[in-house]
Amino acid sequence: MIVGQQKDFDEIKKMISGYNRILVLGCQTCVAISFAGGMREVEILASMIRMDRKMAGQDIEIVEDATLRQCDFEFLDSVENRVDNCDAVLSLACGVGVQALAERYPDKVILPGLNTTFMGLTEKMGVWSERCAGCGNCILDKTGGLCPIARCSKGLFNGPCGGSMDGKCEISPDVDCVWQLIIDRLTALNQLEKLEEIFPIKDWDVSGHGGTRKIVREDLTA
Amino acid sequence: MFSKVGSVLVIGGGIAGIQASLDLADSGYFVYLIEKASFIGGKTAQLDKTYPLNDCSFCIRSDKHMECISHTNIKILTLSEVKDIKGSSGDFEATIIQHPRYVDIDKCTNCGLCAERCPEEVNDEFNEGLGKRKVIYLEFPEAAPNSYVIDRKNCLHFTEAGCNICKEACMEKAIDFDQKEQNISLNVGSIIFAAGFDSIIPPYYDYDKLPNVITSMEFERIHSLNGPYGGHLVRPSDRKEPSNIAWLQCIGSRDIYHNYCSSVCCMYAIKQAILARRSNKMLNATIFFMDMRVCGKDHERYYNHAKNEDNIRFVRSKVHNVFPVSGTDDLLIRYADEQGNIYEEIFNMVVLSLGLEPSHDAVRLAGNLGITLDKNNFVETSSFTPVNTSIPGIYVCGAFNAPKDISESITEASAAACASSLNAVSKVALPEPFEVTEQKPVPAGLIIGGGVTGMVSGLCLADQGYKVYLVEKTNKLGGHALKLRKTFKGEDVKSYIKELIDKVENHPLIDVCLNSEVKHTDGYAGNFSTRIAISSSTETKNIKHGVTIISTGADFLRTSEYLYGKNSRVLIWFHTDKILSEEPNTIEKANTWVFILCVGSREPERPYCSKICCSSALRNAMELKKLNPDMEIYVLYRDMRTYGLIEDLYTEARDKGIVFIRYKLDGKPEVEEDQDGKLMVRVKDNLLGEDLIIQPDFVTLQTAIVPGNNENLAKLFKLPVDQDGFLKEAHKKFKPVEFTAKGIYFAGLVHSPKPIDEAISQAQAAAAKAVTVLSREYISTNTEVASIDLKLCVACLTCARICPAGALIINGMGKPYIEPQKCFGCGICAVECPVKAISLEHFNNDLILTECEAFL
Amino acid sequence: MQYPSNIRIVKVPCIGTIGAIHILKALENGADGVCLVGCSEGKCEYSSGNYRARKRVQYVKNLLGKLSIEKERLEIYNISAGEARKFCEVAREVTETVRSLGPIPLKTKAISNSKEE
Repeated sequence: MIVGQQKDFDEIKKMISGYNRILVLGCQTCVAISFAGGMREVEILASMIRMDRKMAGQDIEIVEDATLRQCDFEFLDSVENRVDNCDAVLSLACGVGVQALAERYPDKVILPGLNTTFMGLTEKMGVWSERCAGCGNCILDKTGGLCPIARCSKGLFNGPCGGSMDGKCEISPDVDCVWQLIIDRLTALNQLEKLEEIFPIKDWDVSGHGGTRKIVREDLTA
Repeated sequence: MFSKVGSVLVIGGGIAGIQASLDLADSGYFVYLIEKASFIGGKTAQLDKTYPLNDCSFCIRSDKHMECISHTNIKILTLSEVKDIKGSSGDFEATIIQHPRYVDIDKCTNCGLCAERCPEEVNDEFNEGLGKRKVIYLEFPEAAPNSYVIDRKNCLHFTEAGCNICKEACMEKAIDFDQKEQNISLNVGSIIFAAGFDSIIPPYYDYDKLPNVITSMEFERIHSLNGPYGGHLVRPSDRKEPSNIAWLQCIGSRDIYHNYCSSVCCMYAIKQAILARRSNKMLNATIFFMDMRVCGKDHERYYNHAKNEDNIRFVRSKVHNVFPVSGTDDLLIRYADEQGNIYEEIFNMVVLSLGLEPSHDAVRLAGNLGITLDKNNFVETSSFTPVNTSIPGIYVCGAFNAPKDISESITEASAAACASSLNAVSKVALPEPFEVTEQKPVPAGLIIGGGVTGMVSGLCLADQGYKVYLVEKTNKLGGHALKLRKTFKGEDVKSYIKELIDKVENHPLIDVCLNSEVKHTDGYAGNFSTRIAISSSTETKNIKHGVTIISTGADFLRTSEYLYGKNSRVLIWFHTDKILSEEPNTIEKANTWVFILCVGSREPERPYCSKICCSSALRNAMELKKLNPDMEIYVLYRDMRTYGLIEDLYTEARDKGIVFIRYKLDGKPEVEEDQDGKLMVRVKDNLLGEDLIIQPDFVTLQTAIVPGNNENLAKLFKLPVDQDGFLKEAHKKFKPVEFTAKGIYFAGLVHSPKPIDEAISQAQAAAAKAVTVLSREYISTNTEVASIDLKLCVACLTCARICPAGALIINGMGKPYIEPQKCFGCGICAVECPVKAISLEHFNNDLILTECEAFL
Repeated sequence: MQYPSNIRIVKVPCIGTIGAIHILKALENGADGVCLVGCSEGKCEYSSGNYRARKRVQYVKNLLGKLSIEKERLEIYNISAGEARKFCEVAREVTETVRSLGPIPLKTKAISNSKEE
């Protein structure tokens, strides 16, 4: 899923200054699960904004809502009235949602309330970590199901660097060296020989370096 | 407004009244709960901690209070008294006077500003007069209803025209001096007296002159954290910590005015001594007693612990006087030991262990109604219908029935709820149950054990229209009670059981399964499935039922002591019953009879009291004496435990010339036989200090009650077993017939040894609990459970990850499901749910929000 | 024994049911301070409600910091149901702390700012 993180409150404050009727619009899918943009966070952020404005002696009217999934136009229809009646929408969806909203409501100011951080998973309650970089060309079969692109700080492709210490990455003792994990796992799977294969040069075109990506499935299009 | 035909009137809002109300209300009956005081909880609310757990159990108590306050089927009338009752069973007309509180309960926020400003101070009754309170006051911080009250007779507004200080101080405008006394007329189907007890300050021991002679209830208040001294154990005269305290037992019990034992004082005195020693490790605690009557479940163990581990000194002596020590606030006690040697000792403080008298107001009311009271003014009841008064439709429970402790009062309260609900009262709707399932409870009960307890429970359920499966291991109903002849009150057990078996066997809703045993059981409250095997065949039978009641009883000890099994004239208790019934000649010819008590009980390997032996021995001794007045009867005992109203039997036995000789565990009597088989009993007489030799015709051994094969049962039903091998209840004090698992209850001797009347009231109590499950329209859990709006749910798993009960599981469809039997209703999932899809039925997020928003 | 009269009590089954939003709403709607009172540490009837509440309070304290509202206006205590006296002491203590901080800036600033206009 997409993991998001709410922007610093000061940044949000600046962003919304000058707007006095705001729709804080959450998204109940990925970012809700990462506790950044679900209805629960919408309420908290709205309350903070109101208090902040009150202290500044400025009026603000906030409408709180959340769409089931902000990255689908169909789900954006239900908030049409609310969008129409505000000066700006503060979206707590991921970047996809924010853009979908902007596209669906071209005349409205749409502001991002959070940073879309990565594609990852919930390690445990309250802890999320990155797993996939969306490179468009998966090699997990070769690396024991652990991605060196997303999880190696340097994105190294052919084994660990010299900074791998006791299984940890040199950037922080809290970060595992993914290459150590790969080697451990392949050893356990008795597939260490897979690493003897020289990886061909990776095609980064499909990773976005070749321009905005798009997929079309003819059989499904109208 | 106050008319609900067929509802139940509960008189007295103490722990018994509360329990009776809750059980009735949970079974779908409407209850009016009448309480004299401004709060519910009664005497229990004044207690610091309770035995034998030494915990305050405050959470459980206050849960019950709050449940009672908020139950839609209970109307609580505080500051109310019953003036009169007319009519008859099924249609009583009760007149209630409700005194004004002068404070609007709904508006009062308990801020206490009124009391702070109130200029008038009086003695605080809740603290037994040890502290002061204002005239507008809250009895104690946790009082329910949680609202201030004005004490009219001391209030300056009324006494000196027009003090309005509190009214002006109140920001919520909750004070209303115009409230008037109300006469309320209630039409009810049945009535439960749960009026409790009063303790009377004795006119001796110079209690009124000596400040450091205090009552047991005063001790409770002194030691309470919310008491007048903030829980600091100091004596009243100089607020100094006492270094030695004496407890004097049997004050207002077992005397010429009270020919009964108050049952609870031994245990509470031990508790107080333990607590005192915990507050001050150097404290000397001495308890002066006559007989140590610790007969309840785990009570003997508690006593042993106090003696051996807590270093509490027990002195067997009745103290007659307490003298002031001049120049100090100390007190001198002069006492004699068993041999008559006189001692003098000085104590810093003396606690009088006050007995229980039936509530004086209730005695007056019951008298006016024509309810038969015994000579001590307790309500007269039969052992076989322990909660029925002499007037049909009027029931009794708690200490107004006979002196008893909290757990027994709670049991009786449930029993009274059960009995009164049989009394043709009409049902009202239960509060909308939370429909976690749309499944209805199976309207049937499985009862395991066909003794008296099981049969009584079975009849209670069947009479309320539920199917009953009564599973009995042996080939006949009746259990061990078939061996009994009479109760301690002298009632005929045999004809009672015959009648009971008759009713059970002929009841259209009761299916008796003899020679049967449970092989397997599964399910949850409202929907169990159990496999029964019949021993004579290979067939098994599957039963669907909503509740289970375990009443498998207990066994008796087959001792090898005292020549039992070697000499045919050494008998076990029930042989005596048999001889009394069948062999008048034997009795006529016998010159001497010896009863030995505590055979196998109260010993290191069985450190509990079997509770029934003293009374059974005395009853039989009296019967023998009646048939053969010349017979010499000796009762060899360790402590004469004729608790409660049984004391009368003890007095009577002594009057009839039965000889009582106390022996000690390390000086047990010896039973020998000569070549001709003639018996000789040698026992050391503690009074004379000499060996006494008796040559009896018969020796009756009052052997211990021992647990049955409970290990097996426990495994089958996943139930806990206590250290003595009896089944263990959910809470020793407040949930005596329940387990932590819902829908399964127990009663009778499988719980602990007890006489037939107590077993019957437990049987009724278990049935009452069972009905609270069976009467539900849908199977629901007792606690409120969370619910998930699946339309909103995104299956993020947060709830499943954080649920402390492990009640949230994600089903194959990727949606969470709350297992209602596991959910605590804590609401943690609701607050964490990132999409706000979870709510608690009766306590949802929005409700808290509304409250949090209501500030300006 | 009593607690200050300006305290308003919101009863909840478990302190764990109080979320950030409840605290914020109380402050937003005029409370000068919020004090959560839960069961003793390790004695949660629901196993971990009080522990969660404690962590949540820290979280909300940070949010208050971002709003330049004094963090001391929010506190959490563990008091068992039997400790009414301790409850009153805590209530007094909390009231004193909040009183010394004065009304929540939400009110004062709003007033002074509107005067400036």
